[in-house]
Amino acid sequence: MCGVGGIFFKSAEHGQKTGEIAYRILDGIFRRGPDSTGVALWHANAAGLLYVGVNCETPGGGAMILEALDRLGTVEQATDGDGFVRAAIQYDGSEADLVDAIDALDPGISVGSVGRHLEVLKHMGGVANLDAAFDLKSYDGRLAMGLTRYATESRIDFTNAQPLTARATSDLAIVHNGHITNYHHLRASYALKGYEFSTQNDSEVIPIMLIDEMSNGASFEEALHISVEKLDGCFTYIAVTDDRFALVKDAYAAKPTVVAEDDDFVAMSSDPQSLREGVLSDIDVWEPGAGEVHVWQM
Amino acid sequence: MANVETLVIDCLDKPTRDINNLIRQAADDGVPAVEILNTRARHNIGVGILKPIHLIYRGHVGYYTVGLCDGVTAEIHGSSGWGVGDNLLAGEVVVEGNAASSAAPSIRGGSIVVKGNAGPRAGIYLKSGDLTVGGDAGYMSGFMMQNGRMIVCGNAAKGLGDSMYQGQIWLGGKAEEMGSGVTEADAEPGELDAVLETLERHQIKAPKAFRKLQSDRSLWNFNKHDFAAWKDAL
Repeated sequence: MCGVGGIFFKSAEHGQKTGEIAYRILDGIFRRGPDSTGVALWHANAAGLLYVGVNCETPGGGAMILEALDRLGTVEQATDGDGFVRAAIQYDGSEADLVDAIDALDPGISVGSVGRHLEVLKHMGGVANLDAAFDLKSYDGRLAMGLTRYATESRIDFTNAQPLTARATSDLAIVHNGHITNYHHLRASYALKGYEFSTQNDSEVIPIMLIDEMSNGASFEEALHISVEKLDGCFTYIAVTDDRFALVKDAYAAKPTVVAEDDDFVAMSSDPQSLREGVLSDIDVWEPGAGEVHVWQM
Repeated sequence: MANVETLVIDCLDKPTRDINNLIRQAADDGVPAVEILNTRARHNIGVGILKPIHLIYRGHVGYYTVGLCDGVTAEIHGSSGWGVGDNLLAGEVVVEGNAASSAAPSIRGGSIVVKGNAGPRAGIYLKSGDLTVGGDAGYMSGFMMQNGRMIVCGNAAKGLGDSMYQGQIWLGGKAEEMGSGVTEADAEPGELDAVLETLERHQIKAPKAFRKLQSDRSLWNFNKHDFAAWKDAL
């Protein structure tokens, strides 16, 4: 199953708190994915920070990660969520070097995401755990898109939890409900091209595919359309970049998702009830059709 | 419509099972109608009702509304989630708004009317009865339809009527792509009048013309010489 959903505000000034809405939407789709919950948050980032999220399957590894981050740059804010470390750091070097340095710390430690505008947070279980660790409800930026995971093909742990990113290439995160059935074939072909996979999750091939297509000259929107052609299986995924986000559905419309949009926000969820509980309104929703790609400019 | 004999159920703070038991009890007691408030897209509201009763949903409803019912009539003043009227045996469900995926799946009788658009797989496995869509129908609508009648006043997405066995699809607009094993047929006397009468009864504007579609029976029996057609059929 899995559930995807979240909220985007068209203006930095908005009524309800973004994090509280995202909390309710993700709570409403908990039963679709009780294994883990994660969210991608968008930050204006006037201070020029780098947002780093690190998976830590090694008990007590958080201190080691924070120490390393402080060595590489200057840690401005950080939380050790016991399994996942979030940090905002001052860092001017190459993001690929940072990923390599953190990955080298321990076999159980791997970078989950780096971004100048996007920050990824993940935790086991429902959104209550995510909020307890990282205070999701206090977030009041413009975008929070997340996933409740029902693990099928890879381990239930922080590394394989979503959102997933293409790591060193900052500011692209996806959440995916479904199963990519030609994953092994695609992964092998991207690995041959030199792309590094850091999880065993089939969904990881989506950000890699988007990055690859865009590096071949495709626009973000073109890359999304290409993904509908190239990915086999059933999927509804949300992709978020530094200035856009998109909802993509497979050619069979096998996974549910509804969208609501008004003058102030765009909200989406796998479940209409969760969406309406999220925005606290009986707003009208619509369901995108088979093979459709919808892109919103932030 | 609601009258003094109508039972009012507010869904707020009531578990789904309690709501359905209240409706069932009302049907047993011969209450003519139930008005259901604060539906808020809740799933499975009004499921397993086997005695005649009229349900009035004030708001959007979630999945499987009026599922597994017999003899129930319902008006939904909003949009519905997946599988509205699942497996209906007899009765009538009118959705004033849109219906999400798989409207009227496997219904064996009765009538389901969606005044707005219907999502993918509308009328999947229709076994008998009527599905009427005032707007457009999504991908693979009428998939594996076995009998009954589906009316689509607007356009249909790809795969309309794919692998249908029997029954009729009346299409007012265009099909993006016809499903496998579907062909256009001449209307029998009175059939079109019956379609138009259904639309009029529900105050749905009829399109300028209708095409009647049905199975060409090419997929009824496997023939290895037609392997290409089978490969194409989903």
